Amino acid sequence: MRYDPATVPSSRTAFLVLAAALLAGGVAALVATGAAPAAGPQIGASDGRRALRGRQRGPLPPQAMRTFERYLYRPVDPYEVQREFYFTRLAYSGHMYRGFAGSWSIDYPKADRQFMIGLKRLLDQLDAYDYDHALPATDPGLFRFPFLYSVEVGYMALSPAEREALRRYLLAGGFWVIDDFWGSWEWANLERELSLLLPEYPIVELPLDHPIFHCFYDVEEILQVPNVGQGRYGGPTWEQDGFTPHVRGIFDEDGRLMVVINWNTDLGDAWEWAEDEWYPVRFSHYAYQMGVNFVVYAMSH
Amino acid sequence: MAGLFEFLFKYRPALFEEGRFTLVSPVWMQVAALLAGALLVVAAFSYRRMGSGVADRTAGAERLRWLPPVFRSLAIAVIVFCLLQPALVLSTVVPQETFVGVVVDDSRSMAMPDEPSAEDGTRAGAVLEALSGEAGSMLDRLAERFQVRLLAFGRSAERIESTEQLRFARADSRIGEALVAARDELGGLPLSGLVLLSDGADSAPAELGDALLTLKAAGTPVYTVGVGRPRLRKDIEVSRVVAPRRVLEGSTVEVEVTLSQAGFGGRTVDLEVEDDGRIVNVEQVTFPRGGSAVTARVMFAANDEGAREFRFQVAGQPGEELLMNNERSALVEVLKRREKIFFFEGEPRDESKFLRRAVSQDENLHVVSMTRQAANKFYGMNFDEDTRRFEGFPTRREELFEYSGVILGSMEASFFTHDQMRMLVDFAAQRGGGVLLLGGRRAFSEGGFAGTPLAELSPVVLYDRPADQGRPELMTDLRLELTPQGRSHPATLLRDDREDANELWPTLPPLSAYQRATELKAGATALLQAESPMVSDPMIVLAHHRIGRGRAIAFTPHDSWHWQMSADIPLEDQTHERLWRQMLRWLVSYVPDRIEIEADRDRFEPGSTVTLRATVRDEAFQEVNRAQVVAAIEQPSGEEVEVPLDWSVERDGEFVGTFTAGEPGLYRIEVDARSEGELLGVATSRFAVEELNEELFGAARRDSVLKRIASETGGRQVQLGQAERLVEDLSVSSEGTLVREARDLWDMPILFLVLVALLGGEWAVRRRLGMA
Repeated sequence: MRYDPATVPSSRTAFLVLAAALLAGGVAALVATGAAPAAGPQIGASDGRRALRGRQRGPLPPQAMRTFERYLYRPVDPYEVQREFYFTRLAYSGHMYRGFAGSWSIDYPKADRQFMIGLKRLLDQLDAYDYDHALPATDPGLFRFPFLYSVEVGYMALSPAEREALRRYLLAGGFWVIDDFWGSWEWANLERELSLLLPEYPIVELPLDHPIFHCFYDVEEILQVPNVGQGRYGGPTWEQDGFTPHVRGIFDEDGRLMVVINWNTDLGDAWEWAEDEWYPVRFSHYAYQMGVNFVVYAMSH
Repeated sequence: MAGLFEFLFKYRPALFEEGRFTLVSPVWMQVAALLAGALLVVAAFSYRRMGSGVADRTAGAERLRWLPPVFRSLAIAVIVFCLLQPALVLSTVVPQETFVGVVVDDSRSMAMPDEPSAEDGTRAGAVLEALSGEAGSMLDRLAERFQVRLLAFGRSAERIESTEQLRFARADSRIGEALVAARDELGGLPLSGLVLLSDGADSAPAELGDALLTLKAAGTPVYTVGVGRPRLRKDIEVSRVVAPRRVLEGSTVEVEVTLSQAGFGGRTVDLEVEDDGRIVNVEQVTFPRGGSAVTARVMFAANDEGAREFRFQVAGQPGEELLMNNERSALVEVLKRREKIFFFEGEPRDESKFLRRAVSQDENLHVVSMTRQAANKFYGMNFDEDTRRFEGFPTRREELFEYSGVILGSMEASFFTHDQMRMLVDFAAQRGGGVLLLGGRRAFSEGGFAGTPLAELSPVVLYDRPADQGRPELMTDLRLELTPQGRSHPATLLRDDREDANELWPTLPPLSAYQRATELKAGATALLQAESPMVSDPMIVLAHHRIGRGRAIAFTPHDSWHWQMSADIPLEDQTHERLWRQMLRWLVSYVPDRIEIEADRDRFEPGSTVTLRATVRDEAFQEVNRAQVVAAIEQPSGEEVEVPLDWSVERDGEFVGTFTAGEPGLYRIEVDARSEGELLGVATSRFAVEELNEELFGAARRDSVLKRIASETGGRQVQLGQAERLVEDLSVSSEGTLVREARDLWDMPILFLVLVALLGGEWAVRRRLGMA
């Protein structure tokens, strides 16, 4: 089934709110650093190793810095162990989110670490790095990690350099899983970003008979996975106007799936709070199934 | 030497060989001569005793005193020998009662201008002049004693009335067949022998020996007269082309072309490869200064499906004597079919993903993969209606042997049962398949393969690595470099131009590997290597060797996918795709099919006998002898001929039949093998029928051939212009209508010389002794 942008409600108000948020974020950044940032945070290190080790030297925005610092400690250096698989989170430029970090870092790193625990148990032959691993798109080292994960892309605002690197990454063989964004105006933001990133490739709905739903677990139904707050208290599963979950994708000209978009659902929270006795296990179960299938698919197609 | 013998002994050694020695004088005279001789000897010795009055009585002189009587006695003996009338009895032919067949090479190679004795300088001219030129020509001489029959030959010999009928334009010269045909033509006549005038260029596909044996059995000596120079002065020849009979569409074809030369040592020439009039490659070849031949390895892409005739040619060089041998062709069938490859991977990893992706657009490669995701959970991909489904690694030979190649990824040895390991070795050794061993943390020694049956597959020596050593260490920053063998191997040709390809390798992003492979097995060849500070010797990156009928290739890095996904590699770059396409095509090239059919060569002359050879095997690649095998041959006209093939008995599963190719053009063979009514399989092949001009290759006079014909049939090699000698040789032949003839030997110059020497010697000694 082909995705038709006309069916998605667009909201001028949403853009106005977005513009206001951008403005507010920019002012906050100016106040914090005393310097005018370029469009969004420029996470510019020359390779993956330096991106992590030399992050205090890089011109990271203070929000991102704080998140990095909080999770600076990893028991194992990701580049010393050299694993086959890294669950790499894209540290994209975007608008400040809820006042404390870049939107890319929502649920980071607990969701990532917890997903790896489950993933390694389920895919016991996968030689995976146990911890979180975040990289900006402009990092040339990104090309060594052909699997990318992103959340809250409703707040994503890629810089031209990031866009160019990410486009190249995807066309060269990278695989990008997008998760945890809701409603029509967040969709509109992603759609705008993707239309700049991969203008010639349409976004299509992935049918349930696509191999991505069957390469490890047989997923028969697309569930809406609520965030931890709503999940715990049995509230509605949706957020904003995102009532129906979708799994959409972008294929290259050879039919290779480059981008998987999980819209109106929050797999990340389900991984992150899988151990929470109040969070419904059926959502965690489903989220792990989807996550494992994404990894298996990415590592085989 | 022969000339000196003839001067001294009056006749040639050949006559002494043929003849019988006798004394012609009557018996009484012989007795009388002997008695007289004895008396004379006695007299001579008494004369010695009378020598007491010699002047010189020194010890030396005393020792010489016995010599004069000895010399005198020997001189007398020589005279007595002459008186006894020694003679050589020869059986010679009765004039005009026996026949001689003069068989003249009427082929194109006789037009070569390398016979300076002729007026026009050609071999043909020399033959014509020798046969029927001025008075005293060979035919005239022969006609004095024999009934001469003139025959001309190309593929076969035919009678001609005069030398004017010789055209020297036939495309073929099959000496053996021609001689037997000539013998048959003159069958029933008293035949003294055959005279063969030729340059010795023999284009017959069959061994000459059979024909020579027939002639020898029939007692027909062949006298050979060679024309042309034994070595051309200035010539370049494409003497041999070794090309695969079948390749996959889009593959790089590797062809060995041997160029011979005379007079062009040190010269660099362009060897062009032409596909249907289109030049697909030009290779520069430099002839060695010292040697005469050089073998060039030419590579080009075979992109068009069907039977393609590739032409390999060198442009004529100034002063070259023969231009028609500057090209040769090879028929290569470019197949559009999907070779099935089974990729067995022990863990999810990017290397296998990108490898499959690199070849996914290749219509000729069908990679079926089975990846272990979790313990005992496999993910199979690309199975279709043509491939059997199974989970894990096959347990039956039929399941595995259906593939042409197997790629073994990072899977530890302990996963496999002993039978599965043996089956995989048999896949290469018996089925003839290709096995590619990929590097990875569970591959090779690091996967515990040392000491297992699978170790046999590895081209690199494996070492024993205890399982408790934990995770193997990764060697990083490996910059790949070509070995000398790798510099000319088709698998390493990542650019169309060889030099560009060789320069590319060191510039590619560095890779890493878990394999500490530094030692090659005997018989294995390394194509790529890399230096690492972690090992003292260069690390082997790409190596291969043969295992029985098949081959095994080792590629030790585990992250060649960085050549696809690197910030330094442009998006449109095809290096990674090309590497794996070539590697997998190489893996499955020359892998035998269950049913195969092949003509004994790819190209034949019209009228040749084509031997068809089929091999029939069952699903497990066991040879089948009890099968009904029929080859249907589609001729260029579209007409179809069926040739039943019979089990050859010499080899299991081999079926043979013959067919005579008539019209020129492309023939298609389709063989159908059945066992007890059930179809085992079908195979096809092609061959071409055309004028091959084989005799223009190696066009210099082939003395070895001419000598062999003469010596094996009891004839002799004769020089052009020695007609008299030829007549004499033929006259004393043991064939034909014969008469005995005694030839005097008393007047041999040697006897006179001996006599003079003996008498002179006696006189000299006597002088020395003061008796003269």
